[in-house]
Amino acid sequence: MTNKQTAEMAAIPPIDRAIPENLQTATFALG
Amino acid sequence: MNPTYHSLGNHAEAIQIDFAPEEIDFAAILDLIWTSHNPIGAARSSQYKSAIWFADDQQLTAINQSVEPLKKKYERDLTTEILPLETFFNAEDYHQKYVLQRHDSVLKQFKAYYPDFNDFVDSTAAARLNGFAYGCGSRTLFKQEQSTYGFTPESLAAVFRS
Repeated sequence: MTNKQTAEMAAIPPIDRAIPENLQTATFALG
Repeated sequence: MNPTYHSLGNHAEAIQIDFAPEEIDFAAILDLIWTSHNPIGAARSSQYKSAIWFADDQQLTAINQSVEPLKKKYERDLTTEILPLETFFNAEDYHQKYVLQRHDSVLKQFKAYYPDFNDFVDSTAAARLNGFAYGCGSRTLFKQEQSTYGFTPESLAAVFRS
């Protein structure tokens, strides 16, 4: 990771920096 | 043409979440879905129907497995529709993280974090805070997590409800 990328990462909420890879989606509607 | 709130066609209001299978599996999400609505209720309209859209055959298999015990329990077919996932359209910006958008100071900070509104829509921090602002989640959970949201406790004081 470059210094610029590291700086950009630091500028978002910590929980958003820890998103795992290989996510799947679930789609639903609950009337 | 993308559906809008005032021109929905036969589209339904739906939620699409990203999840990490190593953290929570699809079957556990199905459990939450089934316990969060009435699967034998009559749909008021296409807009407000209940449905699960499967993304692949694995999800369809898991859905079918979860349906069987419910059909036995209710002794009838479910009204929740099981459908193949096609195109998911995001709602308009003003519907996104709807309750959180009422919190001006928090929203202003999110705009600093995410100049592109789509990044705000995809933010886990925004999703969690929107849930708390709506009244979901316990104070204990909120306190456990709040340092990960990128805000001071003071700026989040008004967000937690319930």
